[in-house]
Amino acid sequence: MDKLIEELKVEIIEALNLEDMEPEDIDINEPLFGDGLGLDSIDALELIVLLEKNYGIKVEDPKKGKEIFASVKTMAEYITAHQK
Amino acid sequence: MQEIKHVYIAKSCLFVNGQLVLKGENSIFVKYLKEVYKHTDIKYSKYFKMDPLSKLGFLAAEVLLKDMKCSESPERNGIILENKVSTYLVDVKHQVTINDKENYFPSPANFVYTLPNVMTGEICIRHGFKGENAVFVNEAFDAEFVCQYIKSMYEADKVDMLIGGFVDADEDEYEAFMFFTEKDNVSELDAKMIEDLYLKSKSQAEE
Repeated sequence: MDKLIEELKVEIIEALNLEDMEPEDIDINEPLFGDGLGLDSIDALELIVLLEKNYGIKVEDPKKGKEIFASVKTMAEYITAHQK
Repeated sequence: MQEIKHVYIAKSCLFVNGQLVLKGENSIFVKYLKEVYKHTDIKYSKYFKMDPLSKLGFLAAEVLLKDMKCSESPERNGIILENKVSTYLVDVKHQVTINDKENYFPSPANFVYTLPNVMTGEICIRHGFKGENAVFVNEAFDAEFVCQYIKSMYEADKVDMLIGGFVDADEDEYEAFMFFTEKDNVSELDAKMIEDLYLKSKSQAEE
């Protein structure tokens, strides 16, 4: 799980062009949206693409997005539970 | 007559009113833009998500509007630009992600920038402009057209301040020319003068 979390941080920084950030700047429990990293709706779509492209996981129910993308940790947990 | 404030960015050079203010250490377009971003001394995280064209326009506007007074009414400020290759760089980037039907992953973050007026939108969001804003695709900067458009906006009493200019980013070349106009000084706005400022800036950057 720790390795996956570190990979995810790098992928998020790259996919979302967070050029000023380093992986260690991201707290794994910090909210990705709102007060945390301050991501927006386009970023949310980008994260959905990231899950599908890099992990083969399709988010079928958009309502689950809030739960899945709550933090890096919840994303990693979702990937671990759903990766084939 | 006071000279119209103008900014020019090309060939790793930033000019303000014809004075070189930042000669870049890096000749690579996006890396030079990062130098300009640092030079402006702003913190605007959304900048990093923009496509190269929007970054270029955004930075030119940032430098142009420094210490300038815009109208206090958002609806009375606007921007009219021209551009040659539209959003070619991000269009290509987007196309690469959708070429292969077996590996079809269009990037939403790229797709949203595949219109040149998103660049003016970014500038308007940053500075709170809600007045006229448009980008016209043209073969080259047409000072006559832009000045005529700006004058018609003032004559119709639609705005109090308008930025005019040309912002373009191709694989090999990039160029941003922006100038600041106000309704109160519209009589000083002359297409020949604007064209001369543009050509002078261009030739300075090429030296």
